[in-house]
Amino acid sequence: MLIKHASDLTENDVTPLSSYLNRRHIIQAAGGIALAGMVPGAFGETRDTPTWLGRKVDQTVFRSITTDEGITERADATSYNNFYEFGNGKGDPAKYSGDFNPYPWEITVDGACNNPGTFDLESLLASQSTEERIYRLRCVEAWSMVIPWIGVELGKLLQQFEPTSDARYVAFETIERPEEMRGQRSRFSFIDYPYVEGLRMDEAMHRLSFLAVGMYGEPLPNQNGAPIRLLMPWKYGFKSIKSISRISFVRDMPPTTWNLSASNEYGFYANVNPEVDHPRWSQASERRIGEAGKVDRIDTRLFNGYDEVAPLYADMDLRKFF
Amino acid sequence: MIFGSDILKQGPLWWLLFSLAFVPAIYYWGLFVFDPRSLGVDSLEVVLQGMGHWALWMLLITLSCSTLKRHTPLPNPVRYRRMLGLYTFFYATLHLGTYVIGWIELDAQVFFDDLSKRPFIYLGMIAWVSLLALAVTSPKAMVRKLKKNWKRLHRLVYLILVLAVIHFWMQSRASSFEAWLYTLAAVFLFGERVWLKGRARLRANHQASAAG
Repeated sequence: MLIKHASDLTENDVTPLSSYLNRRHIIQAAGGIALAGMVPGAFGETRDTPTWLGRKVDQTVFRSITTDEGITERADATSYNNFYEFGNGKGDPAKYSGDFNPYPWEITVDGACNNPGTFDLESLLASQSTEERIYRLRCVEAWSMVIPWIGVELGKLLQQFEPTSDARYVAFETIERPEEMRGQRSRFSFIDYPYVEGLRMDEAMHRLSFLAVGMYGEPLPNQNGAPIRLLMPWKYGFKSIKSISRISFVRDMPPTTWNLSASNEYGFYANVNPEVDHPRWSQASERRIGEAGKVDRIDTRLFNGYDEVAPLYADMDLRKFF
Repeated sequence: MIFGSDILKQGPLWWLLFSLAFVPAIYYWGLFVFDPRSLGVDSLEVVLQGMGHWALWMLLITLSCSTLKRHTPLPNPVRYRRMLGLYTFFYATLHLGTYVIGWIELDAQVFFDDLSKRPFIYLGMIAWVSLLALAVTSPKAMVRKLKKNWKRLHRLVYLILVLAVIHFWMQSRASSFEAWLYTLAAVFLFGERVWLKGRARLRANHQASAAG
C-alpha cells in the first residue's frame, strides 16, 4: 500500500508522465468503451454532464493518493453498489437512475459558518483544482472495491464557508426527488428520506476526507452519486453520502440515516473495524471485487488500512463508539 | 435411492414437476460454472441467494399441496408432496453448501463463530437440520416404521417455515416487500390449517354435545 503522508507529497508526484500512465491504467480498468457498452452497468449514466464539469475532470493532473492493489473494473463499480434512492438491489442504481437529472446542481450551506448560502456546483468548485485519489471502498455488507475518484479535499471546500467555533459537526443531506428516484417512492423501505449523514469536524477536516465529482477519469455517473458525493475511505460505505444537496455546520451530533434505521447495527462513526462485528455478520473479512472482475475473500483492516486516521480516535473505545 | 423403487411407477405429471423443480439448479449452477459474469458482479452471492430463495419457494409449494387439495378440484396434488419436500431439502442443502464451501471458504472458525453468535445463521442451521430429519424419514418404509410418530415428526415443517421466514427477514436490509410476501404466504398456509382444525374441533364438540 502506498499511502503517502502529507510530508511525502512533493511536486514530483505531479509530473505529467505519471498522470499519463495513471490514465492508461484507468482506461484499462474501464475495459474500453466498446466493452462498457455491453455491460448492464453502462446504462443509466449521467447523460447531460455540463461542459464545465467535463473540463474540470479533464484538468485533473495527478494521483495524489494511491495503492498498489488492483483497481476494480469500471463496469463493476458502476453496476454493483447501494444507492437506495434508486432501489435496494445492488443492480438497481445502474438500472433505474436514468431519470435522475442532476444538472444544474445547487448546494445549500447553512448553520455555524460565516459564508452560508446556496451555491451552484460550478462556482463552488471554481477555486479548487481537482485531484485523483484511488481509495478502497469497504461496504458494511462486507464487500469492497478499489476505485479511482476525482474530486476535491472536503476540508478545503468546507474552509470556503468559514465554519465558526460552534461548528463541531458537519451534516450532509442527499437530494429528495421522489419523481426521479423510485426508491424514495417505495412504501416498503426501512429508511427515511432524505438520506442524512454527518461527521465530526476533525474527521471532516482530515486530508483523506474527499468529495468526488468524477471516477475513472469521467464525471460521476448517476448511480454512483452524481454530481457530487462524499468519500470517507476509512469508514463503511454508507457514510459516503451521495448526491449532496445540503451541508450544515452544527453544534450537536447530527442524526444519520442508518443509525436512525437500526441504532444497534449502524453507529455514527462506522469506522471499518475487523474486531467489531455487525450484529448479523462478521466484519473480519470482506469480498474484494478486484481487477478483471476477480472476487477474493481478504482480511479486513482497521480503518480500512488508513492507519493515519487513528489519532482521531485515540481516546475512544471503538467497540462502544462503533 | 431416496425416492425408493416407486420412482419407476410415477406418471408423466410427476416427471414433469420433477424436471421443472430441477430447472433453477441447472440455471444457477450452469451459469456459475460456464458464464459466471452473466449472473452479476459477485456470482457466488447470486447463487447463494438463489438457492436460499428456491429452498423457501419449494417449502411454500410443498405446503400448498394439501391446501390445494382441500380447496381446488386439482387431481390429488398431495401425490407430489414428498418429491417437492425433498427438493426443499435439496435447495436448502445447496444453499448451506454454497455458504460453507464458497462464502466462508471452509473456515471452521468462522463457521462456529457464526453459528454461536448469529441468530441469522443458527436459525437457518436449525431449519436445515430439521429438513434433514424430514428427508431421512421420507421413504415409505420409514413412514411405516415410525407409525404415529412420523406425523408428529413431520409437523417440524411448520417450525422450518417459521425459521426460514425469520432467516429471510434477518438478512433484509433496506426493503421488506419480499419478506412481507413470504410472511403473508406463511401466515396463509398455516392459518388455513389452524382454521380447518378449529372448525373440525367445533363440529366434533357440537356432535358430541348433540349425542349427549
